[in-house]
Amino acid sequence: MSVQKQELQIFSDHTVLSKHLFEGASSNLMMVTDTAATNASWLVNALVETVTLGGPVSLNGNNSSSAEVFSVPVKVVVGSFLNSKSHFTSSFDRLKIPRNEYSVLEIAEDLVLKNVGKPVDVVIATILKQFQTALGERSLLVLEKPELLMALFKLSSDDLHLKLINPLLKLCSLLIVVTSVESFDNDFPENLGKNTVEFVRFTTSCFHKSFLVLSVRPLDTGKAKDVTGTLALTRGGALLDVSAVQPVENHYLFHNFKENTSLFYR
Amino acid sequence: MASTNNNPKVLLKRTFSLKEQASLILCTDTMAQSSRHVVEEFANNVSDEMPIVFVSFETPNKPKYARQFIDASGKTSKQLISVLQPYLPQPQEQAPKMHLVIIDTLNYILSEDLTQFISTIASPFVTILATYHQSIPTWRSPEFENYPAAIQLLQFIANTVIEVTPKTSIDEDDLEADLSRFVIPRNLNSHIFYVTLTNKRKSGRAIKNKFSINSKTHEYEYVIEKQEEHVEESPEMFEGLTTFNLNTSEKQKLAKDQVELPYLEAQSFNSGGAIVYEFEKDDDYDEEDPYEDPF
Repeated sequence: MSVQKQELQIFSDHTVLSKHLFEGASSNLMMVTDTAATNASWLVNALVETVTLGGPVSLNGNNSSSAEVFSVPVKVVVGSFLNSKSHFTSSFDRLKIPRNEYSVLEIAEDLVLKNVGKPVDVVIATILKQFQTALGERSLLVLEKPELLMALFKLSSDDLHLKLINPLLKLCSLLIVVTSVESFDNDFPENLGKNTVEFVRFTTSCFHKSFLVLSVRPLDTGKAKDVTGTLALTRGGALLDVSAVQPVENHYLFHNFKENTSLFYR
Repeated sequence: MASTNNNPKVLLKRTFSLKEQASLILCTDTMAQSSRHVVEEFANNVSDEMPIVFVSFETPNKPKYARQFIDASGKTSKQLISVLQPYLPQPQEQAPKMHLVIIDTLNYILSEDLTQFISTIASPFVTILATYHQSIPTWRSPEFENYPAAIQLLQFIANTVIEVTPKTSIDEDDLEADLSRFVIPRNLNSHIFYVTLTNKRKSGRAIKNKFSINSKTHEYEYVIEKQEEHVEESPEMFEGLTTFNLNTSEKQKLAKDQVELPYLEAQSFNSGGAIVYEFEKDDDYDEEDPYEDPF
């Protein structure tokens, strides 16, 4: 007997990314969390597909029926502190997303080499300038693993938020911050060092700015033959500044198999 | 005479509409329940004419109710004060209007600067409504080890403290364990939640009341915390737990009740510090020996 696959729905208008997010002048933040065992790249791909192709076509074996027509053109910009530009372009090529539909910034490439010895403020200003050039009035920005800047340039969580995340949020309609929650898995929370506190502080501060959190986690019981992990959609600490739609809470099981990801209700 | 302060719901309404005099109203929240809905309740209850200044560390979106919006990103607390000052009542103003300053989070202000920041803004014509996220951890350097934590300072200087908690069926310990792993259960951060309002009176007395709030319908309900009922021991309670006999018979209970505990006798003395010594039959007591009597 086959288990019925479920479509990914994030908003109350049964869409993955509602068009209403990009219609007003407001800026909203959404958070995607993952762990070392379960990477959220398939989810990021699905979100980019939604804006560029009209739906998350790589989910459920290209059988997704939801198609969102955006009344205004939405710019898609991806900036990663972990992966190189070619990582994303080859991944999007496989998903048949036309290259003119998105732009990937070269940020992770030689980030340290290019900025060694420079003051942190200069490094952040250079990164911000790259985004300013790429982003437009109505845009979706996917920012992957910005917390790495803290480790690379001895930056505090507060500085990262106030000097990079906040200005970036102002520049786009929807900012998706993809971050790792590995630092939360601590056996001895009372003995946390400064670095761990800063990483946890960054993620928790991000939570309070997000209207929705998409958590990709492994199963508590370990990896199964037909289930890779869980995807939980839960409200964050902020309110969505768009009155037409609301985020919907949902829990899914997902299974990554080769290039495909299938979703099931939990 | 029925005082308004005796009715908890009226007190909450008065707090939301800023009719209760307060320089600092502190909202404390966690990842389980954000204070955003509480802030909206204030905005919904205050007079439309009251100027609201919104100081934001977390959002670039100006709320509809805010007359002034200040983006605090990248500003030191001193710079922030100088940006904020022109929007507050000036000392030379005669009969100035009450102002409400909403600060979306105080977590970004260093704990050593916090009291100065608050005291510079606060005045008889300014009420500060500020949130402190308790889930955000803070690294404390060894030099400030003995300095009070930010939340302790804020709770001390605030006139009113509103603690926001979720209305959920999940056990408190389980919820805390989940959130510490960044596992977020469903139905948190909902529009229906609990607040615990601590109102500090001028006399020094603090009144604490708990309410259930529905921020969509703006309905407030006073919650009377149930006292845990004392459960009488019954033989059924121990059934199937163990092979040992844990039950107490009526005779045993009676004997237990009649045992005179040693401290009860100590309480019957009027003069404190007396030594109780009862002679036993084998004691050798010599009345003529002056050193024999310990009293």
